[in-house]
Amino acid sequence: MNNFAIARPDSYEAASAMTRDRTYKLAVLKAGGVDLLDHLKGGLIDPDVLIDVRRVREAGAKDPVGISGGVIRVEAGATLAEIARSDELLRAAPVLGQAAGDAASPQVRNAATVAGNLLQRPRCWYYRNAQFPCLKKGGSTCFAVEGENRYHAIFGPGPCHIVHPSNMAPALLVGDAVVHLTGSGRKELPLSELYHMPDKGVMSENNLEAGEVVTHITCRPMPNSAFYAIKEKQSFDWPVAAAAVAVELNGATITSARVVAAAVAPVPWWLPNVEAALKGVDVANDEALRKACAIAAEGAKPMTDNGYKVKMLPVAVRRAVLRSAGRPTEVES
Amino acid sequence: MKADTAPAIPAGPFAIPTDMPTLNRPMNLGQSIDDNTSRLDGIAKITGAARYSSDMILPNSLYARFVRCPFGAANLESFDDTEALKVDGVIEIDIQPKECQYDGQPVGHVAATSPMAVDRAMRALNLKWKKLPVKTQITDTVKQEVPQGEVSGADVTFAAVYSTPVQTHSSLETHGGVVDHRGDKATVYASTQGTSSVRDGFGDALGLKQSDFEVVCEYVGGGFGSKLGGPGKELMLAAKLSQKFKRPAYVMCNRWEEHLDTGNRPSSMTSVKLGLKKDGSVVGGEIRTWGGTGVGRGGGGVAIPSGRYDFQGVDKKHNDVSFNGGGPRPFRAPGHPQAVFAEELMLDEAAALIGMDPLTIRRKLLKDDVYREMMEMGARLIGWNERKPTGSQKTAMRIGYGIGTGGWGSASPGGSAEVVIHQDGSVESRTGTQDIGTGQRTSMGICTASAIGIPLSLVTVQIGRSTLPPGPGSGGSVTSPTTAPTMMAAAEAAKKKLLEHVARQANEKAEDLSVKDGQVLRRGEKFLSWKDACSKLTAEGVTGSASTGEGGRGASQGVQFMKVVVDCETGIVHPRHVIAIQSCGRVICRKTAESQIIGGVIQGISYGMFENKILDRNTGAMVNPNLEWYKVLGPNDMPHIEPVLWWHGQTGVKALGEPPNIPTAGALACAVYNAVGSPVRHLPLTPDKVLAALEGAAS
Amino acid sequence: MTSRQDEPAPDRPGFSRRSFIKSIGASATASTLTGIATSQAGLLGRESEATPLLGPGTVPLEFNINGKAEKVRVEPSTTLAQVLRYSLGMTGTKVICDRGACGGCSVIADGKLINSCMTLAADMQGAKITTIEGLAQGSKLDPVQESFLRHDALQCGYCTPGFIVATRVLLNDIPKPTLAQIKKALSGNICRCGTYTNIFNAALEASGQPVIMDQKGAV
Repeated sequence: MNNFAIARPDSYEAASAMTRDRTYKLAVLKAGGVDLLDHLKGGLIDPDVLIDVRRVREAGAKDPVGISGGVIRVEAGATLAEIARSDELLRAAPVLGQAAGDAASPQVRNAATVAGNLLQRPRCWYYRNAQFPCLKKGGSTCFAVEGENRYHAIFGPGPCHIVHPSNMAPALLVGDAVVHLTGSGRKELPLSELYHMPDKGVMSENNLEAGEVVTHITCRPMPNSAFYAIKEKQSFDWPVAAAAVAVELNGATITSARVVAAAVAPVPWWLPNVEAALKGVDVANDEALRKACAIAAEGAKPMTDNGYKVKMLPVAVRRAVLRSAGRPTEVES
Repeated sequence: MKADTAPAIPAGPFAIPTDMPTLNRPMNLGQSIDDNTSRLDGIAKITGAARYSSDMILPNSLYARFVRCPFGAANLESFDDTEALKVDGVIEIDIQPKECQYDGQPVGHVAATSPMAVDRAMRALNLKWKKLPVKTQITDTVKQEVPQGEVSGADVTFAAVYSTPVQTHSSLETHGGVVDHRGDKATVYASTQGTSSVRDGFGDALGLKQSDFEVVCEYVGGGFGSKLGGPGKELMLAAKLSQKFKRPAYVMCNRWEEHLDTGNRPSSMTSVKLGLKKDGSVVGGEIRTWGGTGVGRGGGGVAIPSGRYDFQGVDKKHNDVSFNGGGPRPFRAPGHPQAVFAEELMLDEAAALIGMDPLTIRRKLLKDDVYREMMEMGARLIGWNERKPTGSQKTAMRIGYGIGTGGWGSASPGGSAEVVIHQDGSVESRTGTQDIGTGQRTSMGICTASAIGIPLSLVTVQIGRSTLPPGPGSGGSVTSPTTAPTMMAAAEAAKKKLLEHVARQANEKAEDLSVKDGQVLRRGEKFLSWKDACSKLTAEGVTGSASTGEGGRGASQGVQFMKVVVDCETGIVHPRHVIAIQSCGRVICRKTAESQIIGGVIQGISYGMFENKILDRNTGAMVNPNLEWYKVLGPNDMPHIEPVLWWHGQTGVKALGEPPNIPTAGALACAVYNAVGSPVRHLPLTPDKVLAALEGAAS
Repeated sequence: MTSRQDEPAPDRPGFSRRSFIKSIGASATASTLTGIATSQAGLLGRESEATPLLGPGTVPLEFNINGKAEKVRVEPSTTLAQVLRYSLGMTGTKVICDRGACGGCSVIADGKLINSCMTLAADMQGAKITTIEGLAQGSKLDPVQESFLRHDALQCGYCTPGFIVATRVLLNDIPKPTLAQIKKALSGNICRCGTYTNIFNAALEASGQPVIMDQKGAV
């Protein structure tokens, strides 16, 4: 790593002010630092100052996660471990704890924060290799198209084919999460508006403006929700297909559903067609459930080596639905 | 009592772990020379006191790394050493541009006063490469074709093509070491499997006589074959720098370099055509193999047919195939796991063609009864009778069973050992081998203690130094078969000298004296305590030496049974249970012997399920040179593994390092085939291929 | 140069209603890393005087490591693993993958298991850190260490410090973990020699539970 200075502002507002400080060549916010250190070690960025917000808590925020007035609130600096082990959260929105607990490893979960998880850069092996001047680094080629793309996206028009790496984004999205901001005029942004596709700007994945800092995230309780990730390796691996689901049930019948897929597209991938198809489905009716979930990969345009994800995605969705309704998947039964 | 002489072992306060029976695996109890001893260097390893070569961070040290080509084929067009030399702490930059042929090929080096400075200078170099066309795999040169035509005289002809990827050793301690050249003397801290061969390999590189430098290797963080041979380019660079600057020089690969340029198990492709009679006998056919050796020359051989099965009239041809990738090095049974994968799966597929059970066809074709006996036992332990016919299951989660076999034999290279009995009763075992995790230090102690007849706590083992009597490299599974008898002979010789000395002083006949349980006996009756007997020695004590010349090939056999659950909706394979039966002759140390078997199985599953050095097909760059995307089996992927030490009628110390890694991937592939109903013929058994196979089974 | 461009809402699934195209050269790569935008290079004086800076030169740091106050002077870019190994000579903590994927550098920081290779030392200022060297109390091994030894849960030993530290934290958090919990809690660590079976037994025994006994039938 090249050297840099570290600043420890005592508030998000002060952090935001620092990001606008033009004394610095490149000032980068740091929370858990996991993805940041990966970038620094890989020589992908060369900041002269890190703005460390790891210990910043918003005024009035005591616990990393909390529920009050029917709203779940997760501080930006809440670690994935804190989210995964919150009993309160596990009851109110199991999908959050499952998504957090399924990410990375115990060591990483103790450092990584929810905001960092939402805003981490892709794990694409061409992006992470400084030798490949890919689109995300200002280059003109997506090396995955004609190269090694087994872990890349099956949705989206390109020109970049990353999969968004966040577990927390789909989990929070099914709870209609809102990202709370400071540093610019706007105070909040629906999580559904945080990301954009590569064809709308390939250098970044999100729509934050200069100086904007995430302070916390809110979402609604979703007691019938779940996250299901399919991973090649059951120890510390990135999902190859995953789904977050929140349903409302009348008995065993789904009255409404929110379904967002992960690891299949450059952004968390909302599946409105599956949501519609799930409506009225009896979760005990295997055939009906399969039929509703089978359309999850409709419209997918797999690359040379990732067609298997088309088969996996409906499975991830269906198992997440089963889990959200408190039913065992094939794996458990 | 010290466990060994490594620096910084907090020896005093801790108890010696010689009486710590494990509570499991009663099947193996009571068959070894020592059932209870835990590793003699265990204390050092569990307290963090063990100092590996990579831990030798010496005062005033230089740090260096190679500047490497980042593509499969490229020319270095420009670089900026002016900028790089400005980096604080940089001492030397030396780059010789050339046309590179693989990702990771060195073109020079950077040396600096800290590893951070090396990193910064590397980035400041701003290397510009011109990429050239590459080949990245066997099939870029050889077409993958299923052999055509029928085998004459056969009832059925089976034909298929199998392939395996490049596997990197991924030793957790990377390659390299530290050279501390002090002008007229030098110490080399090497991460090696061959302390003596490192010394020999330096030649004039240190500018010193062999008597003026010592190679030290107290601990090695894994090698698996890749750290055999001489000093390697890393230590050669360290030698050059340390000699030039008269400072210690530290050169260790980082993880990226470790994947690229420290050897690998080459990829393979195997095409088979097999003619069978309906009774399962093989009447002819052909096997063609190709080994993907990258830029290496040789080493791509695939050991199929293994010779364990009776394949009448089957021809074999092999070719190595070059491409733009780092060359191979020996890797835990070179040529075998890839061969067993093809051979066992081929057998299962052929058996299915004639409606025969995999166990039945093996019983018929096996040449050696020991495998048959092992199979009976394994089938019973895994619950083979619960196996369902291949392709008969229709549920989402399907259970599969598979069998793999392995045989190994390599010639013992011979070695030397010394045992010194001191006046105070302490005993030193000395041999220049190294402990790469096998338990060599411990088994040397056990051999000495048991040959003399004293408690292990009296024995100090000295290994891992080139100044000790030379021992073999830790490769080919010959270390124990070579050093155990040698050390025992040395211990016997020392004991004989001691007893002769005692006899002379006490006016007894030496042949009347013996040692048992730490007592010197006279005609079987208690005579002297060990301490009293030794106190009669002169200050220099007595030394027993032994050397063994090249020995024969101690054949070792193994059979493994694998039970898996395949999630047929996702294609994920979950290994559940492994029975690993391994012949080991006379077991010296039970715990470390069991560990060798368990470790071989785990590495074999990892190879079968995950591991794959993926080269970008357009540039030849390895896209997964890390432990994130180069996937190694982790704790949450683990089946239950039962190692079974097979001693029936066997004598002598047998090979145990390589053999248990041979059958596993084959057994795994057979189990997946049994569950899914359609074979996955290309490793690793990732879900994309399992799902594709399922589609094949359905159609 | 930052240019902003609003896009019409897309007509397909996904969350990309609007976006910015940022093209400020190389530094744009980092612009959204951990969710922030960057400042532009400029010659103006510092505008955020309120927040002091640590570095970029070497800075003094103080930690409590294994119950002992340790002071070092390092650049802010130094990782905790580098401080342990290079500044303090505590080489029990290993750096294996150097990217947080293998757990070899695991230490306990304020009760939590972390990868010291992916932690800046400056972040640990004032923290209470326990490394592998700090687990034994005087001449008494930690029960986890002792059971690792008994069950031969180590071969080459290079991953061992990380596994022992991870197991220690697991048992602090869950005194009697199930086998499944053990497997999951240790899944941030990698052993290449293949000792997991014995590590599980060691963790079970250290937590006072029976080891895995799955012997089906005698020989």
